[in-house]
Amino acid sequence: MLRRTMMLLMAGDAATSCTRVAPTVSTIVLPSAPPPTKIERLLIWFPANDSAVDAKKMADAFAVQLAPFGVAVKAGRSTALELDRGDDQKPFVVAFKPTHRLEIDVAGSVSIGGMAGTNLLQSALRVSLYDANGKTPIRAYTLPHRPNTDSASVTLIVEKLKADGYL
Amino acid sequence: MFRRLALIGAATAFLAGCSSPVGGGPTNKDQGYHQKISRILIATAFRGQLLTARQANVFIRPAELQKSLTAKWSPLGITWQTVDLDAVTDKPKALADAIASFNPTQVLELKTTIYALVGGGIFEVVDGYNVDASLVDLATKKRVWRSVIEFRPFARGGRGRTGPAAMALSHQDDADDLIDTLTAKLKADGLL
Repeated sequence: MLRRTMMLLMAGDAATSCTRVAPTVSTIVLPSAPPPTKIERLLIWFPANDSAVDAKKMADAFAVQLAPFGVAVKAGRSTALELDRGDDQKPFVVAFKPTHRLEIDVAGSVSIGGMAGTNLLQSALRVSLYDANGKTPIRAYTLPHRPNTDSASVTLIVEKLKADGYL
Repeated sequence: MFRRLALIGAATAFLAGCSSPVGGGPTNKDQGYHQKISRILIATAFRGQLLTARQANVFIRPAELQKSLTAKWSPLGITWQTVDLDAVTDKPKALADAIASFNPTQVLELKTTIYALVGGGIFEVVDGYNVDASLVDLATKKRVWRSVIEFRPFARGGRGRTGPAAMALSHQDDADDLIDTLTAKLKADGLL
């Protein structure tokens, strides 16, 4: 009986793990978000290192995919053990004069391995949109992200921004 | 004789490969901040989006953290309170409510970041993880100190965090080591 139950559990789990569900962007409800305004100049802020996302590939993908909407893009990134992001972003804001900021943070990452080494399986990204000098996000999304799918993740984010009236 | 030597060799090699189960990496401190911690809210968010409820059994429980704080921070004259953000759906509101009711000088936010899994299928468990520790000063609402604490996988730290068939274990040792590591780092940076 126990052996049969274990076999069924393992079979079910194997079946679930074999069927790859396409990632979707989930919107985090923000209680007092103002009506959307078109993004003209977007400062994109990336995590400190490329362990979860490839910042250059993502930045390039954003530039290409936002160009048809007339959006200029500038990329910056956090420092390791960042304390005050606002201070770090100031030079970019002064020089580039963005209308909006898009901050991409890694909410968590899962790797698998053991003594032979580890491989990154998946990360959860939190993508937050701000007005140029805003301190609270006007839109926030979560998105599962796998290595080497940077362009696909950008597509999902751009589609979401368009659907929400920002492009 | 040969078998005995081989066993001693294997044991020695294993012990040499083990560092402590919980360790701290570098810290970053606002060099202009000097206020010592005396009344602090500790906000924990260990349960990640990518893990199952069973996998989340690997993390320190609120009662275990409180027991460590009682033993180690209360004797230092620190007044503290904890808020478990994993237990609520509206985390920002829960944090704001806790700050309003306890009125701390600082908030120490502890949240997990990277999880290392071992095993597979239904036996896939969290073997190790990192905790991002951020100290926020409530007068300025700015982060003034930050560090990463590593809860090392079994192969490197020698501590298993999941029992047979993914059975939950006590994590009091992890809680004690976390507070010890934070204490050492905060003292080194002049905040305790």
